[in-house]
Amino acid sequence: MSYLLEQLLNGLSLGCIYAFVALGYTMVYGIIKLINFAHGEFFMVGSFTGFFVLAFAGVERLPLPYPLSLVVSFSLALLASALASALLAVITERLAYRPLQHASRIAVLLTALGVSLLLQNLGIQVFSAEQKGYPELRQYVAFEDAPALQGQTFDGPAYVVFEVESALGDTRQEQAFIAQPGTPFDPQALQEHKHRRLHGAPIDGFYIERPIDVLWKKLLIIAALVIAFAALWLLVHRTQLGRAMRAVSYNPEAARLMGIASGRVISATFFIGAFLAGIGGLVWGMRYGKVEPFMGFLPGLKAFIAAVLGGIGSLPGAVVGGLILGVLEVLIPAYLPSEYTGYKDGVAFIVLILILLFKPSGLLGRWEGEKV
Amino acid sequence: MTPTPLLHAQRVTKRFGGLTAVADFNLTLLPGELVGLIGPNGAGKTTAFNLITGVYAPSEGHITLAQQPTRGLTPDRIAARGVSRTFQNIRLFDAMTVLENVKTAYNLNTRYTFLDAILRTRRFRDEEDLIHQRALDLLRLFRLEDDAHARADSLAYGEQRRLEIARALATQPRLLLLDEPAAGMNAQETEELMAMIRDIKTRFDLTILLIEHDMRFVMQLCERIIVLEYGRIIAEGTPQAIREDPRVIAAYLGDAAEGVELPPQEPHHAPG
Repeated sequence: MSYLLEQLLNGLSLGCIYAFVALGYTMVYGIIKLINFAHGEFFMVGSFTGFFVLAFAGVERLPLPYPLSLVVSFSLALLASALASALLAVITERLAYRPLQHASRIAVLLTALGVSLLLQNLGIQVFSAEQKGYPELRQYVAFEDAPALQGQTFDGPAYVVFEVESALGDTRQEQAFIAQPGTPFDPQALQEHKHRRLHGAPIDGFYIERPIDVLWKKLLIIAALVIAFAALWLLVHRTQLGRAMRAVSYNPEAARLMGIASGRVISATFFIGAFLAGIGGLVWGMRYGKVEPFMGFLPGLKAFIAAVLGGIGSLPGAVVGGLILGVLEVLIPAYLPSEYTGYKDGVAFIVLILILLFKPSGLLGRWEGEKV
Repeated sequence: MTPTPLLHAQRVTKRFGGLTAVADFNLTLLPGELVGLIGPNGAGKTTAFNLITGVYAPSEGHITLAQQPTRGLTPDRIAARGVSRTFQNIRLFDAMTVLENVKTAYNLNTRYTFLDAILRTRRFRDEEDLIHQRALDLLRLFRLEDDAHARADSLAYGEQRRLEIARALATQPRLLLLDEPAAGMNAQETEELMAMIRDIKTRFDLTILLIEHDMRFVMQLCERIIVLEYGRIIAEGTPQAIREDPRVIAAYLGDAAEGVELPPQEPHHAPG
């Protein structure tokens, strides 16, 4: 793959994660005009939840045949991270923001900053401040005992898979470990395995256990955003809940008088926004391999910038803003002399300054003057 | 035997700090009545609406709806009990389509859940179809069906007023409160609106309370009229009685103009 294409893909996948987080920012802003600075912490909690699910229900631990185990493990992690983040958001809104619904916007904004700090420090108490390596999703890659591997070493534990016939006459697959990672490839030994026909059963094939390819991860992240955004769009435009959400955002008082329970609609908005942030947290962990309690701060801030760039309050804006920011943040340092790569994090803030100077309503936002 | 009142407000007072917006307000609406609420600007008419719909809680007195007290109920709960309204300064959901504005107000009768929507279950599709059909029917009634997919704020002023009534009806109310429905309408539109209000009243079996400055409109349409001044009811009765009531004439024209017939039409009041 060409360098540009690879960097573009890096940027897009990073941008997708920003978009996942930015959608929640923009939804909450749209409905209660609050910049929810605790949103990055919902992302962090989602990421930690995914960490624990993958650690305890990883592909290699599930008693399921591959690739079903991979699908189940990933789905469990996805659902758990999204739900943990969403529930935390609903509780936060109920306990911290709702009591302030008649207070000034500054009071709620400061509360959001406070909640953010509280959750970071709770994170230190619960998870410790130490950075943890994210568990890898495993895949099993078939290999032939081909001469092409001659002179190479295994980059993951190697297994041989064979079929066993049970007393009842049905067959099931079992696997036996044959080589440590780092062991040199030895066609002779493999040949012997084949001849031995482990336990008398026919050999099905040889597999190496490896982390999922980075390329696949990037494509998975992009696909996840496409699916999530399509679902969100349908929800907001084709269901009563979506109509109620938009109605509350345009005119909360009229919405209430038309029978819309605005409290429940606001809860639902926090739930959905943080659900997406939780997914963002999981894929961030999988992509960049680390979790720690402060991990939500910078991505959260950048996702906020993405939301402003796209036009805060606009759903497509959050996606466009996220993607542009992600691509710029990868491409600009990629083409600068290497001594400048440290300025990578500055790109987002330069973008913020430029957008606030030249188009404060954002790329897709429509400036609506303050209503009296 | 008198029928049980649909709405009963007893000695309702609302103060904002030192200002008394509504004082000692009594109102009984029987099912099927069409009552007008008039009075000079700042007399407390809209405040009365806000008290009935639960936007404000009364400082004193109480309000019952079909003999159930409404104290402590939020506006959406009161809407669920059958009170709907329009607004003096139009409050549509501007960037949503005309059809969506009406659909939104069917919220109270939606039973499908989040999960139904994601899985597009039969229940979700059936209910969405029903909402779609009913909303279109309402738009047809208000001659707005051609604009169903236009943005609400792209409609002409008179059309926006009609859309507000259509949206209010989508909540399936028993009591409909109309806040200056004819404001900004020309003579022909006002004529049509009157016919429309009579029509929906029988069609949907409504009780209607309306605020209006257009005296001809109120006098022709309402069976009973209540006059507010400085937050107090100063007169109440049939259009004929109100027309001849010296206190009403004084309130509208000042003491010097005694015996003068009320003007057929008030000067237009800017919304807001």
